[in-house]
Amino acid sequence: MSMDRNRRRFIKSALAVSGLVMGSGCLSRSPKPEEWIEGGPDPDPAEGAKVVRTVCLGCHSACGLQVKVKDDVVIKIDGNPYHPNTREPHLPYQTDPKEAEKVNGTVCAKGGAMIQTLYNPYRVQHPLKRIGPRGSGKWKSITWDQAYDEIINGGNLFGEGHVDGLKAIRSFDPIDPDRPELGPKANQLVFMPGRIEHGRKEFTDRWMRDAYGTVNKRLDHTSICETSHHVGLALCFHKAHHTKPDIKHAEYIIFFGAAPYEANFPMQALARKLNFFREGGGTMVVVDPRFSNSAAKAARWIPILPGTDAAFAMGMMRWMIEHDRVDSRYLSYPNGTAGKAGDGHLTWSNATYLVRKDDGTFLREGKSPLVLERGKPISAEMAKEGDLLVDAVVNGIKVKSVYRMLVDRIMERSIKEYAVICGVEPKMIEKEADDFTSHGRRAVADFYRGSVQHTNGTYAARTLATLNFLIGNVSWKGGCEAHGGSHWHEMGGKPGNRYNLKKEFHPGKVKAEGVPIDRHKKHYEESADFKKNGYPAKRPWFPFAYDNVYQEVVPSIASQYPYPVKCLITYWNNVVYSSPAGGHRHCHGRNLCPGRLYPALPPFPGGLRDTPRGPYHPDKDERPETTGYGQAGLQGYQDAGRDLHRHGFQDEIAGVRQRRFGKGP
Amino acid sequence: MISYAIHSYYLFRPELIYRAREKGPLQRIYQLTVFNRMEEGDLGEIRSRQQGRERCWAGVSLAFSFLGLIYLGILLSSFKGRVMWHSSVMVFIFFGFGICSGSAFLILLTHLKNAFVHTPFKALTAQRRYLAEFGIILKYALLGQAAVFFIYFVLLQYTGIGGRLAAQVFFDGPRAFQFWLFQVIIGLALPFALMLFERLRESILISCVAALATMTGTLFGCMNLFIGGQLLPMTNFRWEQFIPEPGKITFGIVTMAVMFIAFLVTYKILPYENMES
Repeated sequence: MSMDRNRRRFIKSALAVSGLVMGSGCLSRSPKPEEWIEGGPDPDPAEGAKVVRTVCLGCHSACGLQVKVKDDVVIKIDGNPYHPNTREPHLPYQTDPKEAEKVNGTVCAKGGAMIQTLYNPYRVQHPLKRIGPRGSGKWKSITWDQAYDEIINGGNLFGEGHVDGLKAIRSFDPIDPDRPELGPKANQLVFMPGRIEHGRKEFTDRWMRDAYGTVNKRLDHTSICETSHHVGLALCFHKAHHTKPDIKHAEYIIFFGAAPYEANFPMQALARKLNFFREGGGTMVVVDPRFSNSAAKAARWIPILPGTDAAFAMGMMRWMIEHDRVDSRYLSYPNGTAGKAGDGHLTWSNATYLVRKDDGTFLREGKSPLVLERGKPISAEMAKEGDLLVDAVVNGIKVKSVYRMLVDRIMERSIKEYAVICGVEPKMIEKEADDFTSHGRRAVADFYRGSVQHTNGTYAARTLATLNFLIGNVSWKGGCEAHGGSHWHEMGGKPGNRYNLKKEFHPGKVKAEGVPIDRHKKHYEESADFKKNGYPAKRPWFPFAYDNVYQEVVPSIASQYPYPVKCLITYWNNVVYSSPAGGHRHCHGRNLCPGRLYPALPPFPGGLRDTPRGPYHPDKDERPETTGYGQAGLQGYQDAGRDLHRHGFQDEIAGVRQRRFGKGP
Repeated sequence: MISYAIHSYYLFRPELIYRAREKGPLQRIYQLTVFNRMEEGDLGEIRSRQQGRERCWAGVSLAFSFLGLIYLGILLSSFKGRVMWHSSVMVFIFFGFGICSGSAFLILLTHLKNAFVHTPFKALTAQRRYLAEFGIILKYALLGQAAVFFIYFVLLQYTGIGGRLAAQVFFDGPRAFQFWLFQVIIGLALPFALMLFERLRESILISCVAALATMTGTLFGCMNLFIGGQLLPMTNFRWEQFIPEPGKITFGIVTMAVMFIAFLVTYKILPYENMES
């Protein structure tokens, strides 16, 4: 009996102790991980390897890498612990670099798999030149010297007649003396990168524009990516066209058309920060038509109809206005001094500025916009607090405040009507509006390409950004960071920079001028063509474009409008995949694509892609006349290629490539 | 399956060798099945010599089964786009399914075999005692499975809206009826209750009911996971449609039943003799 009792007591005590230990283990957070979690008990194969620090180009995030090299072979890719993308927090910059070698940051799966890219046997390491008729798929490796010689000097390179080289194309005589606005013949060189990173942009500009003299210096991809995002934000913020949420300090984040757990950039840093954010009790809401991985991890998912994000935001705004959940204090600051004196704000808004009803411009006194302060007009720069809801007559002119105009526009539809546009329940809009305004200024609305890749994208961007203004979180801790951070100053010239490449170190610099091939920021009405032919123009002009118009480049080259192009250089770019419609429509048949439209088309860097092969159609008779050089990476890693070449693998690779791709260009 | 087939062969090999020595119409076939390798001694001696291989292949089969379960769990959990599957617990769920259904299968098959094939009294008694003790394993396996599912659902609650939707599929969503009735009540609660006490475990009927219930629960558990994982909405809050195909379902169930019966029948047609006899 007593034995039984003892046993029972023992079991009870054991259970209680186990429960206590397990419970305390779950509740308390270990101050630092155990040694074995970081080091691992097994010998590290990367032990003693040489550490090379570089930057990943697997995507636009540009994470710092700490690459382990043994016997001149890369054996592992880790994150550079100094880099903010790879650790939370990153190593202090004063840490000894040798000591830092013992610490690894993270890389994403793609970054870690860069070894496969590096040692991919299909990777093109040397210039390739087409040696057969177009469509024959016959290429051969040539030396760098030969490639440079032919690209620069031209000649009868393909047995198809003379092709001008870069030397001949670089002329400062006009392309057409009757149309001098087109600029010099040097413009007949077009440089068309797809994704191009900071540093490389400036580097290529320096050569293409400042040294060579072509106005077609960097017609990159942004117009098919997120220009509307930039434009929308640039219209909202002074000197900022990209914002990020302050994830670390926010309590609520609503993502519109952004999937930070699997896309966006820098995704590994965003995902990690969001994990901490959620772990700390933060509320993440994802507005996305698709149940993405990010949506699955969110506290709430709003399955909105595509392209209706602005309507959702306007519904939220209506609820906020009706329930007095707008930060009118912040909105009433008409200038920086007032904002700083009031709440210590770094920013302010023009919500109180007066807008003339007759022409839609700001009512001004001299150059200074006017606001009403307690009903009296005063310069916005002098006022301490402007009136928000103004609909009045000032100096005989009917005016409204910016905020009044916003409210009037918002009130045009009910929440139910906004919900119908979005294809969601009205209570979802109300719930998010309520939650968004329940955290003071530590809430933020963030968005990216999903919301802005529509014809209404710019206005969607403006509307979504306005949400942040309404709770006064702009550049506020835990809010919408609009003015912090930046990339490095590639051209120097800033305090602390050693060189100023803008002003120095460029003897013989030329000024590129004329009409770019895509006619961005140029008026047709100012051209000789207009004076001669009037409307319509042969192809559209884009006087209000924010930047270049990527999708217009290939059709313009194909149409030889406004002038024929003699050389197109692509870089990190596959035009056929990224802008197929324009290329296909305008280069599909010989009628639209007469003669040699791209006498030289040297793409670089990396693997053999479709663009140089002119894969517009399997029937070779319907392909554009293209000539191709493939060039090895500017990204380096030449050694492996050299070895392959030495062992005669290059021909084998060419054979495999031909089998893989079928009959070539 | 191959390792199970090899194990079955070594299980029956002593009897096959024994029969291959005896004259009769099937002698040539028996000789062929043992590759004409005769052995001396009586059945007991032959069996003891073959025992090592049989045990070895039993172990190999078991190991492959466990690896298969782990692999299945890892495979499903690697589907990032399917929230219900994208869980580290998936491995343990299938492990739990495997232990439960394996124990139940052994209990059910042995009892049915004993009913189907004559087994000497001494062997029968020993086997019943063994199976009654095996019921304890089943009981704790069921408890383990329930614990794993509990952890799984707790984790789902902390996996955002996707996790909560995944849990909803089971609790009050499109798989709720199958989950509560077949997986929880029939598959977990009933067999656990039946295996709770020694007297119940010793009852052949109750053991068989418990085993059958466990196997039914496991089957529905798998179906709930595989089908339920595809029911989560992708573009709105309406469950994705899953249109059952009665033909395929019937085919699957019939195939499983045929395999089970075939397995049972082998005891009848193959030269099976109980070791204990």
